[in-house]
Amino acid sequence: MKAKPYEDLGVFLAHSATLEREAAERFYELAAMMKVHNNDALHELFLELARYSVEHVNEVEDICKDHDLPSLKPWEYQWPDLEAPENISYESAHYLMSPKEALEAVYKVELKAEAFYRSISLQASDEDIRKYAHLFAEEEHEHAEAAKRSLEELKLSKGQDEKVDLDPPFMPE
Amino acid sequence: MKPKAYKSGVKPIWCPGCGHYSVLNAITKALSVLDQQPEDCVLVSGIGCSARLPAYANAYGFHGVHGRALPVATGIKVARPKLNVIAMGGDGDGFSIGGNHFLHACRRNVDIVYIAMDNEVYGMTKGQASPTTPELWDHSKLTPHGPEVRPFQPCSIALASGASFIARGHSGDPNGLAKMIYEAIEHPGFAFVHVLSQCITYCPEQSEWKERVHDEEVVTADPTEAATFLQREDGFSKGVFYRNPRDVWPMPHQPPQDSNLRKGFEL
Ligand SMILES: Cc1ncc(C[n+]2csc(CCOP(=O)(O)OP(=O)(O)O)c2C)c(N)n1
Repeated sequence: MKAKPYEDLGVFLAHSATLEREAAERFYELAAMMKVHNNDALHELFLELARYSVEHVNEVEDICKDHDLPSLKPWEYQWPDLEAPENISYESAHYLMSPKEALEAVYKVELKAEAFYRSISLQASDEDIRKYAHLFAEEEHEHAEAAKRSLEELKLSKGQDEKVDLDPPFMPE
Repeated sequence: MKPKAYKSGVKPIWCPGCGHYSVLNAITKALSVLDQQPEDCVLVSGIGCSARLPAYANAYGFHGVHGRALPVATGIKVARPKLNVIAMGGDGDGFSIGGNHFLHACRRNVDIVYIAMDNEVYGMTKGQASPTTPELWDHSKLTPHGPEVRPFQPCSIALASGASFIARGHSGDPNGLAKMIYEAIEHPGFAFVHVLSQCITYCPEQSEWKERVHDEEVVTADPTEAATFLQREDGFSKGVFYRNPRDVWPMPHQPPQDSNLRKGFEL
């Protein structure tokens, strides 16, 4: 068994880089699928999130440059759940997904990412792991707060969560 | 190469929420671990939403005829044994129209992988019952009381037909599925990976699969033990169930040294 992310700086950074990279890729995928299904509001939202995520990928990769990172197979990562914590799961998307549902999903994954980093910053004895884990946890916290603020703004504007299927899946008789 | 590099520039047109995205994700991860060059790998499919997958991957691809992924994949492997051949498709493609090919591919044990993305419905043709649809699923107007037929059991039938590697994954766990696909590729012989891949557009109830799926790693080489397990389990077990390498087809043969033809024509 490989070292835990809170025990080894390389393992920790490998987790951070993959967490951020997978989140960015997933946001791009969600943006693309929403475009195909004419859900323009969510296309824009996920695209914006993907762009922010790429900035975080660059930030983490910049830190990784100066360290030896182990090469981990996708199933060797020690995520608290089945996937990296900042990934919105594929099955939670829907072509009728509303901005409210999307922001709730974003809020949830940002909190999960924060919790992941937070628990590492508390468990690690290595100074650098603690420092980076704390920094990343704070960043994820800011993202979660931003998602929460957007959700509150949305509540003030009416009619955002109405679902009208203009092109329902047709089952022939 | 990173997993992303195994995706083509073509954007999937699958519905958001479809499990097939996760299968694509898992395949690209498995190929990345193997450090497979795209030109050393062929993805072969029939017809269906699931069968669109080769277009979304950066490798050779063959989007063929409905139900015929396995014969095409078999032909490619026999002609070009060094290629990594992965056949794929849906439950309709693989177990209805392609059902007979499935039995014989298991029996023949050519060194290929077959990934069946099972959403228990014909997704592409808009939600009709398939061989794996639950008996009382009454969402389709064509089967208003449900199909009223017992669902096909892909893993049991694969075992009875002679598949030498049998596993079941779930689209909710792309990393676990990547491991299974990686092991299936490494397995010499016909490797069957049954994937519970939800279609939330026609079967919204499948979003609950995540709660129903449970880990059950029963890697055995004993067909009786595997059969007993598969008869008892609830269809939501996830893991490698059976691994029993045996001779791979085609068998190597020496050309006959003393044939009459040879004797007659040899100078
Ligand atoms: C010879 C032939 N018969 C029927 C069809 C119509 N058809 C297209 S896809 C499909 C079934 C698709 O279901 P499945 O294989 O489960 O894949 P999914 O779309 O659910 O991924 C059918 C019956 C066809 N294309 N060709």
